[in-house]
Amino acid sequence: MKQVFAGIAASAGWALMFAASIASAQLVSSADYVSSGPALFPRSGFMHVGHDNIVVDPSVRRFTGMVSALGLPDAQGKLYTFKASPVGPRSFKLSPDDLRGWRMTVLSGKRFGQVFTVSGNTESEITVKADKGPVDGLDVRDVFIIESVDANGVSMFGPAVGASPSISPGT
Amino acid sequence: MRACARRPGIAAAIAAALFFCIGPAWSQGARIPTDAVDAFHAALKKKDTAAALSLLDRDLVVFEFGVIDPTVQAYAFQHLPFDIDVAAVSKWDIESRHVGGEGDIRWVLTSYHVTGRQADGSPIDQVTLETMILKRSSGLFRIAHMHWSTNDAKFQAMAQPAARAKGTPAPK
Repeated sequence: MKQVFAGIAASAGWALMFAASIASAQLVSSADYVSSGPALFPRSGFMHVGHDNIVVDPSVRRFTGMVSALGLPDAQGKLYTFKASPVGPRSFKLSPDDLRGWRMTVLSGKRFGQVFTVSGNTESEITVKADKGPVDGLDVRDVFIIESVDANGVSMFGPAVGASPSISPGT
Repeated sequence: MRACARRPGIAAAIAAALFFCIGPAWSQGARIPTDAVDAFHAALKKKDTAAALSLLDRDLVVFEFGVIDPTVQAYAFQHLPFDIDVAAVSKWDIESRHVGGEGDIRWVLTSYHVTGRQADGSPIDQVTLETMILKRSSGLFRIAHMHWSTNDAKFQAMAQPAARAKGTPAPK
């Protein structure tokens, strides 16, 4: 077990790098486009634009993170558990089973676009249900989003119509 | 014996059917470019993250005014959740659409009238222009580039003076 989770410290660094790259890549790339031709875009400053001129409540709760280590496979050699580092503004400190029943979608790597259902979690470890298969192929540094949407695609904790913006974890 | 001989064929047929019906989410896409665009918006509305991802090319680059999501991962991590939240409370009616391109590269240019309510109850009522470039691989079109802009006056007021204050000429 110690070996399996030995990369946690290193992965925390990767997590920070990834978060920083997501935040900064937009500005760096913008600068690249500006320098290659007429000034089509502002050279500096992160603007809240696109649909961002619209202010809406989160439609579901979300937890975004990065795989920091893989868990141990089960007796059949299938992997259902991994360690997670919170990454991004939608993350929050996990308490046991915060994410139980929520939908997990892998956002990078070999399992890009694959969906799983969380069966439970600890403060740092996430386990998925077997019904959609194991997370084999998931790798350290893969990123994912876990949303408060059940296996049938129904929001589990969506704010009620007319409700004030939620301050609950994950929103 | 004959029944036994048939079984492998039947099993293979079932396996093939299952693959095409419930195969990897990202293996979807669409055979018609406009279908891919409309399916993407439908996935946002349904809060179906995987379905939305399935319609995106792995080389996706997104421009939202001056902001760039340089990779599909960056968009999925950063902006897709917000686009889902916006889609949940707004209605996008197509005002006009132009389709072009040939072969494996096509474009779909759409003007939407977007209406709805913001978190504070104020109305959303604006025109959003959308450029989608689609790339076909394995017979299916996926979105390789998205670019949105809007006529929203509040945004223009917010963005343009900020840009000029930084010494950058206004977009021409």
